[in-house]
Amino acid sequence: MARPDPALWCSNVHVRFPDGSHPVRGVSLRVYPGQVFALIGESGAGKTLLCRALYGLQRFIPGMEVMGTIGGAAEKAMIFQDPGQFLNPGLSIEGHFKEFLKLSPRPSLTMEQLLRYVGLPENREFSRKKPRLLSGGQQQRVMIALSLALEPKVLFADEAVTALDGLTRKTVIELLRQLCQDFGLGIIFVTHDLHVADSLADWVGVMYAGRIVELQSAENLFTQPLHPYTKGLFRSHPGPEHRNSPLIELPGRMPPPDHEDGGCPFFDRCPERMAVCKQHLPEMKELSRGVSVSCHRVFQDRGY
Amino acid sequence: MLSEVHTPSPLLQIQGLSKVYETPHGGLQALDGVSIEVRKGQTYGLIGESGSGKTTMAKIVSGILAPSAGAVRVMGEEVPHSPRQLRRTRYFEKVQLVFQDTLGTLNPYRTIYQSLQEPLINLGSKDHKSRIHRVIDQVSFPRGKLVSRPGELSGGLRQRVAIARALIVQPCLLILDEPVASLDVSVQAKILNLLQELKKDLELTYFLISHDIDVVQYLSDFVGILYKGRVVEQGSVQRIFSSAQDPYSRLLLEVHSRRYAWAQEV
Repeated sequence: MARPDPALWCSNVHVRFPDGSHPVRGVSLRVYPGQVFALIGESGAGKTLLCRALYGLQRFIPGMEVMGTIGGAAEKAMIFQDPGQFLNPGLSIEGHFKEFLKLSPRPSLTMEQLLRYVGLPENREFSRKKPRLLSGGQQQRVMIALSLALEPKVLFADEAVTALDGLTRKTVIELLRQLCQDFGLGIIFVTHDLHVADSLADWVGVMYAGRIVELQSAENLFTQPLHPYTKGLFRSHPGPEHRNSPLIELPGRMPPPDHEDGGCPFFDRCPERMAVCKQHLPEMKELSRGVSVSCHRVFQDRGY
Repeated sequence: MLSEVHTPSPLLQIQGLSKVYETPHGGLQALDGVSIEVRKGQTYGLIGESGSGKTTMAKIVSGILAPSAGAVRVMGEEVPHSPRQLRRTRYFEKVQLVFQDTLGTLNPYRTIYQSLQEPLINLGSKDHKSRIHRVIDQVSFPRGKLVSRPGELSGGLRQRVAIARALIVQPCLLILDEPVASLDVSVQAKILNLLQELKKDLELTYFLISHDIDVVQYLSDFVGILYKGRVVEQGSVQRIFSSAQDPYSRLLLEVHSRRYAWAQEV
């Protein structure tokens, strides 16, 4: 069976700012319909700026320059970490839907259908409420319903469940997975939380210092991580396996967004570094179908 | 004092604690008959989601807020409820609070040195410099950054300052309210390891309050699960994580379980 066209793809995307900072450095990825692609990594890795570049928000961000090729569906929507800030405090839920449905050329779903779909009450009493009367989980559901009113093919979610509690988070994650299936949406999901990526993602890209350093299916990434940075993240994450031993720390810090390109950006922190890593930046290589990594050590061990 | 040697009483004893907030729509029961005991040198982790009463709990135990009913005792002495009593009994020397939001709790206009000095001035203690240097060495905060202001520091360094500020009065009990939330995994690991080392070196007792189940499991000896102001279940960390009985705790722990078996030996 032929694979469908990606809902979103990009090739060699760079983001630069006039002050010399270069927070995204040559990212290529594909997000397929019906799948969740999680971008994970720590703060400063460039996840959010990559997302904004892929969405096309650079017009609104002073000085932001995007290079590279971005393709796929034009119908995009985005949800954020803090829907309370995004929703207009003076506008009722109904008012929000009126505005969003106006943006859609031929809206095929009504407000009631959208509210029902995301599991919110569809009565007038609810839709006349102002956002501040809703809980965090309800606000995020309203955001999701509003983004669906735009009938997107790609949904960008930037830390969309970070502010939610465990139980609420789980239900929102289930809702997002359901969306993928029902609407054939491709979701690009940014998170720093390994747990969220574990429960939500089909594919995971690990970002470090502006680049994707490892890209695998979620199952492979969590069970057989390859890049020393990914392995370091797992080792430093508390879990049942660390119960009676200290966590293994990742020394040092991520290079800043204006660092000079030279060798591997993870060189200083890498427990598996080799002489070649200091001199040459490893390229991203596909080792087997759906398994890509950029690490000289992995290349050497596997004979690439 | 002798009797304490024979029957070690808990360092922190919370008995039948309740708190009702008065609101225009009537009373809001934030805590409802909570009883917890923590022995010296142990870590008690209280897991709760937002609205469960976690923060109310931290505030009452630290003496910032008076309970509606029940009592909190630290080393057998009841926690005072008024600022004047708090000062007179020098309660702050025994119990200190470490918050999640370090940017919001450290004075942005003061240098780190000034922030660390303030509690020492209040206590009327001498040799500020050597005490500050000792405590920042304990938390591995670089001496060269004592002249920085909180805004110039990374989240991990600010959290070290918050811990240092709590430790400088040499307390026996630390209340850790979401101590590593909002930190990146690699920074979080450093703070968690630091907390474990400090506990051992300084014989501290921790009362940890968090929604992060991994963190609670990692740090705690005993675990309680707080739901709508009640502790629905408590026990040793091994028991809670292997065979929780209460339906809510089971749900909470199940939701947290992993879909994939994460690589153990990596």
